[in-house]
Amino acid sequence: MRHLSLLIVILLSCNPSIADGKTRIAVAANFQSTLEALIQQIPATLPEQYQISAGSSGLIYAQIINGAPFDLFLSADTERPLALLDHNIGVPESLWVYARGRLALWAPKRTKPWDDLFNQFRGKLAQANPNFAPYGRAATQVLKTGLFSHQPQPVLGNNVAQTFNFILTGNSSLGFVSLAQLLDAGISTEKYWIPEPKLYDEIQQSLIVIKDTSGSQRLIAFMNSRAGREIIHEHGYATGQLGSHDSN
Amino acid sequence: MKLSTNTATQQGSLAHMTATDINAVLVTLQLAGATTLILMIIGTPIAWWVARSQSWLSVLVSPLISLPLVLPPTVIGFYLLILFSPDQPLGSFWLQVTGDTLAFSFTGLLIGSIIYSLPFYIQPLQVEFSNIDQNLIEAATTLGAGPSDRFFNLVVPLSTRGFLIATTLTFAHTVGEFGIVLMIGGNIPGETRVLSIALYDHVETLQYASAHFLAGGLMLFSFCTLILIHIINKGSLTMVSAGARKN
Amino acid sequence: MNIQAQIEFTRPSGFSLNTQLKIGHPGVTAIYGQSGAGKSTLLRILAGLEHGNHTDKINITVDEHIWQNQDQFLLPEKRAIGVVFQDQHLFPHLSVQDNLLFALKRQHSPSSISLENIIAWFELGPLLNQKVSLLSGGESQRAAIARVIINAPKIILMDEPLASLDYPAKQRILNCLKILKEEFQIPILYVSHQWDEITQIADEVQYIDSGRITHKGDIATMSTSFELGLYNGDSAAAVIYCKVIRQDSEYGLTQLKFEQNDLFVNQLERSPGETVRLIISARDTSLVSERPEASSILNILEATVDDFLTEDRTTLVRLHCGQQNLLARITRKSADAMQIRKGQQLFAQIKATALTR
Repeated sequence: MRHLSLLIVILLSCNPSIADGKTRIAVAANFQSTLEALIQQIPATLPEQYQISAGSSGLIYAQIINGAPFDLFLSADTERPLALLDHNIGVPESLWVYARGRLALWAPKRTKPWDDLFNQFRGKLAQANPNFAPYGRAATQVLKTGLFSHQPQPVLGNNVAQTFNFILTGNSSLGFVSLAQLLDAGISTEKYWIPEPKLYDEIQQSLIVIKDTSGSQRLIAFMNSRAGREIIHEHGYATGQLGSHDSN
Repeated sequence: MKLSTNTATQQGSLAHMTATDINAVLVTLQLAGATTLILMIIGTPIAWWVARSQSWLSVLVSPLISLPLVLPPTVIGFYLLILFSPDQPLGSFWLQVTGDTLAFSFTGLLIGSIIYSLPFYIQPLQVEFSNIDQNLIEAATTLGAGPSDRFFNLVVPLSTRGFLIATTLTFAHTVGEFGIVLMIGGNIPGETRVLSIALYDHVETLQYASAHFLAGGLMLFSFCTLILIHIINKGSLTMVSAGARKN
Repeated sequence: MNIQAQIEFTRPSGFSLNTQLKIGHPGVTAIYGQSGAGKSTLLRILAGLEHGNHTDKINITVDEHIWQNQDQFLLPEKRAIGVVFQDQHLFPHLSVQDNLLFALKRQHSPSSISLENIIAWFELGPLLNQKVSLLSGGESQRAAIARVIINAPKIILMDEPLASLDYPAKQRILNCLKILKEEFQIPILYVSHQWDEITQIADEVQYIDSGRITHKGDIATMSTSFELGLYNGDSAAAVIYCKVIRQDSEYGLTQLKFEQNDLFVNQLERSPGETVRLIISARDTSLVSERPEASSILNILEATVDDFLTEDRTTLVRLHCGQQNLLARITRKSADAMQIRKGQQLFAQIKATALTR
């Protein structure tokens, strides 16, 4: 009997969330590099405390619904965290817009002025799927304003990361990605055009705490701090919301 | 903008989705059908050569053909994405000839599917071919039958089982293709939006009822395919080939 | 029909074939030898089913056409060769009739042979729609031979065609082959290690040993030769040719003329004037120094001792009878008692019932 309980203790201690106190974060792909930058800078905390899984918000949502053991979810939108709350998953008070995404139109091989492009372009334009990717929805909204004289045919990536890839590999010559990605990749500013934020619904990226850990608390506190927000800005996002945290 | 999960909206979405889903079914069937047909034409001689050749070259070719079995489809898709790029020779050639990219086109998917399903066509057929009694082929030769005569009038009738399994597997396997389409498809309705992508979309948009519907249909299809292959293997459809087994 | 072949052929296993083959006449040429001597390989090379590699030297010429040499290789499907294998190799997905039609469609040359006749001669009528897998050994071999003939080849190669058959099936097919010989005039190369098949059907015998053809001759000479060990045990037999004189229906016998002698055999379906081949087993032939007055044995032939071979308990004696030879196997005791010696004049006795055709 003593051996059995010893065995059980050993097995249980193999569960990382109990034994070594790591915080497991699921993050939308577009925010991954920003999150990594943030984690490096949290005061009095080792980066190894955090375990990051990046992916498409929809899939992460489906995984969490089915029991995936994440402690914190940084979504690319607000719907998914709300849907989780609908299913009684997550701490309602923790819902917070941690960043606002910015859309950008990228034309890596552009030689003409932007106006000429908008007037003359006929072809396929890459964007994220508007049905479930917030940047895709924003792109569609911008397109609806009649930006292009000839409505381009959409080529849909599942998320903005895949869309970025389409353009990067040259398969698309033009497409809507996130500003954050372009900054990350060091793309020169003349290759992209930033639409007015008022042309599209704000891309509000919200997080939700699923299981409270000290690691999550420290991260969120840092993201709310001046230093944290600077990092977020540098990566191409706007910050702050109307709500319980400081707005900027 | 809260996506609702109440039943009424689900049913409404269900009705709406069905039309586009039918479209996805059609694209899928076209893709699977075209892939199977093309593999029948190019895969059959390859399977024959690998089965009968004594040269060292066939030792190299066989694992190459099996490669798509072990490579993750996303890897294949990734390399195709690069290969199809207009910055590369193939992609730019295609662009010049058709004015369009290979990626995000049905043709691009077709190329990807052919690579993806290649071993599923060739291997069952190759096994069948290598089981054909060499003596029968020699007998046909001495009776005056040349190579293509022997192939069409002796080998093919003796290999019906192999052909049936190869085409069924290829078709079914292509129907289930996802990773490659995800990488290079672009989700274009009527052209590259296949069933597996449609299913993925439903999951992503939290339309689980539609997702269940599609997934259930795909499951049923796969199950029927397996039953069919089981029947073929048992020999109820082709009894003749049994006589030519080498034993 | 003229076949000339020079073959030097080796395999990694150490097997080698190094021989010349000449066939200058129609009829059946038997290739006789023990298993592993190279008979089947020889046939396969002639048929073009074995290529050999660059160290092998193979030259085959048929009727002034080069089939194979260092630079050329005529594809087997273009060589008008028919091959009958030991295992028949009928196509399992076709019925017997369709197998025949397959061959008919690919006839090597236009032929006067009709499908109906072949079906009749080989008694395949009731089997036409049968699945090949349901045929007995004898039935499928008949079908296989019929298939080869309808294909109208210039030569037929037979590789141990009767090896897997029982005695009645063998005899039935040997009779078919005898018809084949007479009706169709296609030269046959017949490979076997069964001497009793060869004596029934061959006109010429070529003896192959360890990959070389060491002896050849007509069947009559070869059957009575002492050199080749063909005299082992019961298979020693002389092949002779006789002419039909008349039928004796009252006694159920046929009277033949053998050299200057009369020979009586069980009734044969032959007409007067026809030449008949007989096979006389050595153990059915006994010797007597003087013609007996009254004997139950009908056939008593004058003969001279040509040579004899003494073994453990028996002595094999070769006798000249006119231009042809006979064999007699007697006990050593009798040989000593009769003082058998070369040149001795004797009488050979052969029972009428002992003669086979």
